[in-house]
Amino acid sequence: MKSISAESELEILTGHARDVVIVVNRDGEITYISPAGRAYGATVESMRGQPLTHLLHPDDRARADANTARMLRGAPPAPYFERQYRCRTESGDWAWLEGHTSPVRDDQGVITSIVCVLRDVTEQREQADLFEAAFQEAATGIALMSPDGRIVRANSAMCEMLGHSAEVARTLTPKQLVHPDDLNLDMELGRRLAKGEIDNYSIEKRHVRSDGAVVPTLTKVAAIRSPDGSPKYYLIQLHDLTEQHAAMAALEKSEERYRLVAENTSDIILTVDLNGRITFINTTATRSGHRMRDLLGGSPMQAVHPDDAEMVWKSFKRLHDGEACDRIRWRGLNKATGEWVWVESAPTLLRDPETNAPTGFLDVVRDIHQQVVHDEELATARAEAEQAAAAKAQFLANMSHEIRTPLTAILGFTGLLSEAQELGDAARTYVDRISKAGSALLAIVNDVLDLSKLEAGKIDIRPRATDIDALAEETLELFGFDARAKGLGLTFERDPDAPTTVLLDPDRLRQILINLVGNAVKFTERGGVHLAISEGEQPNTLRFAVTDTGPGLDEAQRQRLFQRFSQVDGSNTRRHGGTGLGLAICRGLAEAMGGDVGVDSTPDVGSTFHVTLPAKEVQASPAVASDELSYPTLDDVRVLVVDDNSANREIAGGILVALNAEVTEAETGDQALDLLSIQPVDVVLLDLKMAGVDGREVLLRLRQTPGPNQDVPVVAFTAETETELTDGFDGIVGKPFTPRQLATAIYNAIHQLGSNAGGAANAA
Amino acid sequence: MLHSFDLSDRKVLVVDDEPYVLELLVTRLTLAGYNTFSARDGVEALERVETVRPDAMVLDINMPRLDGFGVLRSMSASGAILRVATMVLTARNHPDDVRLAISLGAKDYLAKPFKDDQLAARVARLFRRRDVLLA
Repeated sequence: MKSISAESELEILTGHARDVVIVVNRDGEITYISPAGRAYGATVESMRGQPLTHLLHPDDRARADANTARMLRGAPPAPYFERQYRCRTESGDWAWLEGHTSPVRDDQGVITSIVCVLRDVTEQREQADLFEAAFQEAATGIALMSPDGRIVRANSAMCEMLGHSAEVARTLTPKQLVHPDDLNLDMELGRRLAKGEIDNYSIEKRHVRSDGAVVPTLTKVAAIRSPDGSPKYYLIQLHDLTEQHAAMAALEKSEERYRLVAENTSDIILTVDLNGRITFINTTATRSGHRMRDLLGGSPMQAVHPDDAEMVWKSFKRLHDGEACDRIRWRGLNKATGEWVWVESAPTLLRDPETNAPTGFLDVVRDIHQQVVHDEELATARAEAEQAAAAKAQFLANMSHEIRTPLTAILGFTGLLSEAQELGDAARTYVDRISKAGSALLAIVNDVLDLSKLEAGKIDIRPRATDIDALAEETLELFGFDARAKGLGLTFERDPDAPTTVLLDPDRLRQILINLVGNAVKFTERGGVHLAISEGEQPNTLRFAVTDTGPGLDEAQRQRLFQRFSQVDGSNTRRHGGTGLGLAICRGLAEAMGGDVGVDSTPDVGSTFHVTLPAKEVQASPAVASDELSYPTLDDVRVLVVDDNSANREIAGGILVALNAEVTEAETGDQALDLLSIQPVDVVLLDLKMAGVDGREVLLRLRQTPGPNQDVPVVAFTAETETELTDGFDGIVGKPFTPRQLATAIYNAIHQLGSNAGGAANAA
Repeated sequence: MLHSFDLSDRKVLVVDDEPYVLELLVTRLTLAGYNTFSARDGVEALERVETVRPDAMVLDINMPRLDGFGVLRSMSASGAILRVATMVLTARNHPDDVRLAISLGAKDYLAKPFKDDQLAARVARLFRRRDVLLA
């Protein structure tokens, strides 16, 4: 810098300049102000001898003094924004002036004065304020660092991130802000940036907050260079990665969880790409002797049994085609043992989350070998049991057949014999005994068959009007001989309040009573056996009680009593014989009839076996009994009653059952035709007016279609009265009707006595 | 009532392998007035169906050589079942047996052992069709 030779020269230089040139002496007093100073109300005249700072905003004066001191010390100037000061303009506004000071030295180098050039930077300053605002408000932490490592500026985001005030931040160096372990991370990058080899770099770096908390950041550093290329400042941007890291950590944790599940499950989990290559498989696969390196990239089909390969392949194909795929069962190779093992898998299709296009398959394969083996064993056991049951049923059927055939001859010839005229009274009694014993034997055969039917729930119960007294007497008579031989009394008593004729299956009741009375006689050595019949506790039930004076039973014996193949005392088996099925059959029959059995017993005193059965009193049969001649017998006649009105079916069916007919019912014409095509009957009682297929249509189709009932007599069941309406029928029962009308019409139809029947002429 | 018909022109073939049962059946039906013929198994039955040309047949199911189902099958195939009204006798009383027999053309069935009057009643039923046609 030259010394000023002439003040006039300076005047010329500064006179038209907008910059204010101020010269200050060593004492800081203003010695010169250029004309531009007038804009700020400052002239040499008004300011001479005043300190420079007098012109400045009070808040800026200390800064100005500090900068002057720096310069006098010979230190480098402060950054420009430290050297901006406010001066009041003539209009009274504050303008920003930036100061550039230079020392003026004499020949000996001693500073004699200071030249200060103040330039109006208000406009730039406003621009800068905008940038400043942006700088301060940026979400990213931004700092300006000097090449010597001092933080020159730090924005609020940076301060907040690191927990320092802007003032404190300015006093800090990276050493105090960066995590000690990460201090040297970017040393090399920093060196290259300083040398100008790169313009900027980014690096993940941990910083430390004022409270000691670690802040993971993405740190971006750029150099702001001087014209000579040397870095003037470093612009440092910190992006807080705390949340991102937390999210990543959570993700890793959940992946870890899945990995743990995948590695610790006993299922094999694998993914396969569309080329059929395994892209992932958990280590469970190695437990069956497979090596990971063989599996990954290989085909899963290598472990599938050849016989199952097509099925497995097709399942994957179906999945790929968008169809659903159920669990599939196949055999997989256990390489460790060389055995094929039953597995079950549930393949699903993997799709690209964005395009939804198939990308591969996920399969979870479970070892179900034990289960399959167990199931197979069960199936085998079941098959064997079923085979045994079938063999038993076959045996029973065969035995039944073998015994029934000679019985057919015995009973048949006994029947012929009893019709012989020349029999004496004694012989006739014997023949009657043969017949009854034969029937009893037949009942036993039926018992055995019944047991298997009871077990299968296939027992047939056919209730019909039954004379209780006659049935009881008949049953007791069968044991008369045995009882007399042992000197036992055999008595029967019916409570006078109990009905004499009830609706129940007499064959089944007889079966039960034969069992109970037979047992009582068999096990009683003295005293007697008494059969008592009374009304049950429930309405419409009868109670049959067989009381003996036998050895009696204790509690344990009673428990076993009604079980199959069980006799109370093993030693009794030889003494008394028997199948041990009797009481079990009694219970089964009683239950099938809707009743129950029980026993009351006292050891050494005796037992009472009782059975209670539903037994509705019926009136029809007594009428038959009292007026036998006027009612035709319908013993064993098979009648199909067809009516869509259930009340009509019930009334007609009830009367016919009471007359010992076997009744089947149908409620529609179609149902009737179906039944008639497979089940032979002796006569059909057919309602004419039915919804759908009516009575005439049923008759027409029946006559036109070959079958077991094509020519069966059909009686019209109708409220219509004109006789021509019943053409083709074998009789007519008008509604309403009396039991006699019904019975007579049925009887006449069977015996071809009807006025319309073709056989009428012959029958007469 | 049935006994009052003259049934001697009505031919019934009875088939059973059990001699006593066969004798019983023949006796019963003869007493009932039918012209009764017998066969002891299925093969003999088919021969007699052709030689005797019966109107009705009482046919046991369980027989050696050819059982009742075999007889029914053969007669279904030849069409003979249409002119011989047939009732099967079954000792097993198995519903499936009855269904099979009916499906093969049998008109009725009777379980062994049967009641004395049941046999005649069922055989009378077999003849009903002819009465209707003759009328």
